[in-house]
Amino acid sequence: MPWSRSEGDELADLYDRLGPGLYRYALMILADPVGAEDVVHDVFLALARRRGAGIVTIDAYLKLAVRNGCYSVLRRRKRRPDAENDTTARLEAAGDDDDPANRLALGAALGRLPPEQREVVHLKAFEGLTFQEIADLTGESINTVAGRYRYALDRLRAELGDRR
Amino acid sequence: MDDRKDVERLLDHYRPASPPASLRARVLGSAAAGPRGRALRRTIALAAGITALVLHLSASRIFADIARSRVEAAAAERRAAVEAMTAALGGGDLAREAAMQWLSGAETPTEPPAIADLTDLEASWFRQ
Repeated sequence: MPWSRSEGDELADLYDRLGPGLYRYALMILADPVGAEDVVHDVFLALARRRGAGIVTIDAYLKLAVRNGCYSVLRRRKRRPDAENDTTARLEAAGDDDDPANRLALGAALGRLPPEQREVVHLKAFEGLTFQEIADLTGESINTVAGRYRYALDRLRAELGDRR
Repeated sequence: MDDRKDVERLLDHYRPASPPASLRARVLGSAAAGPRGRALRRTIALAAGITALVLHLSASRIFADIARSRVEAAAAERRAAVEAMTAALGGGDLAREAAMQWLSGAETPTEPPAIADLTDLEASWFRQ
């Protein structure tokens, strides 16, 4: 059965509140805008089919669903390595201060990181989560998460060189 | 350590790109269609496939029927010719055999004559 008007409005509100953040999360894990769109679309569609049944915390549910969707995509890509995608993490300025050259270089450097490191950078630097919160979300130990973040920053620093 | 802080400061200036506006419409459109709408689209596609298959099979059968009827008509015609010629030759098994042999010879496609039996001028026609 299609969603009723009120359910549709509810889904629209939910998308407006969480969709952009979930898309950014997927974009950072995949470094692929098209793949990120597909994952977010499928997650919201699955939610619409379930009509929220059995979901306690919708924010956490959607975030985990997007994460699982992204890693499924990455596993499929690993099996079919010829299906290579654009691996630049597309960025936009968070404020008025934007240096396009810096933005592109940072996006390209982020795109070259392993997805797990990119994910931790996203959750820590862009979403402001603590290492403990990231560990809870990803199911990894806090040391693993902190280590990934350190490695990621070191690699970014090495890649960006004098640009900073 | 300070180098990491520098990278963190750089990251502070940016965030991942926003989703395209089309994603919202795509999500809400798919949800509004509902599973019945999606099932309907799948059913229509399946029905179209089955219809194409049925039409293909029907057309094959029609062509087969046409071919079979032509073969049957030719056989009937041949039988009638054999009967007529048998009667013209006086009837009986010998006349029938002669009629059949004559008709078989008449039905055998003629081949071009052996090139050795031709004159030079005729051979040159076949060589062209």
